[in-house]
Amino acid sequence: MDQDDIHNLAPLLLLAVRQLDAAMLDASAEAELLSRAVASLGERGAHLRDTGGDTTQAKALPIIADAQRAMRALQFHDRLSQRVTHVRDALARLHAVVATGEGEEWRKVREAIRASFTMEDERQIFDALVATGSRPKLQRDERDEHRDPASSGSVEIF
Amino acid sequence: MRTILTVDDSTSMRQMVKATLQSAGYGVVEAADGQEALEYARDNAVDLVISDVNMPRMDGITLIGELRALPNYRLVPMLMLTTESSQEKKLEGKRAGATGWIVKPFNPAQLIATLKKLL
Repeated sequence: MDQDDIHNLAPLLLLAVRQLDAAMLDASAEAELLSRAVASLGERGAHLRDTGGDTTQAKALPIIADAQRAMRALQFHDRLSQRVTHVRDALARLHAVVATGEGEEWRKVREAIRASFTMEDERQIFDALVATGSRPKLQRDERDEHRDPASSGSVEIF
Repeated sequence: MRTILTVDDSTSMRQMVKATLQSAGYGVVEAADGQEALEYARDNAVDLVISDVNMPRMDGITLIGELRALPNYRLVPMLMLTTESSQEKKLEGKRAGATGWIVKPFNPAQLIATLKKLL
């Protein structure tokens, strides 16, 4: 990569950072509205269950169950936000390096990016792709291997 | 009514935890990060704490350590609710004084069952 490539790469990295910022802002507002609506549905169902007669209670239980399923599904946004934020921060670090020419050394950049991850599968993907540097593209089945569905929703009392 | 302090920097996560807890009859107090939670806890008692790990200003594991140093919070159950699932982080949480560890996304019915065991 010569100086001209680096000169052209810097604004594209910054553009990606700004696009991710805008997308996250839009998504957060909508996710908040949606989660509020689902939470309200669950609260109304619980109120009917606790205050109504037998028939009302029986009708309230499926509403509560649906609201609980929706609440679980909606938590995707929290995980998605974290992943996108980590990508955004990694791109911002790369931009700082290529734009100024006096940023952190590459090793330090890689260490900082890995340290910013908050999910185990993110670290596993990073180690498989970046730490070894041997494989340029993660295939679908490999992504599935790095997922940890068994840990999602797990409860461990110490 | 038992009161639970729930700590998460995500507004939508706080809403969903709050709705789950209120539907089971618990009172809920919310904080957006560890610092805000600690400031509340210094002047108020709660029956249980549910905290995220990664948050701005003060993370959840630091919060648990700080809370355990307060006389009113030595015996209060404290659960971590987080996307983190590594054994190292869990051990860190346990050493800080966490009672248990729940990996997001949480199952509302399972969360309520866990609280009933602890309270």
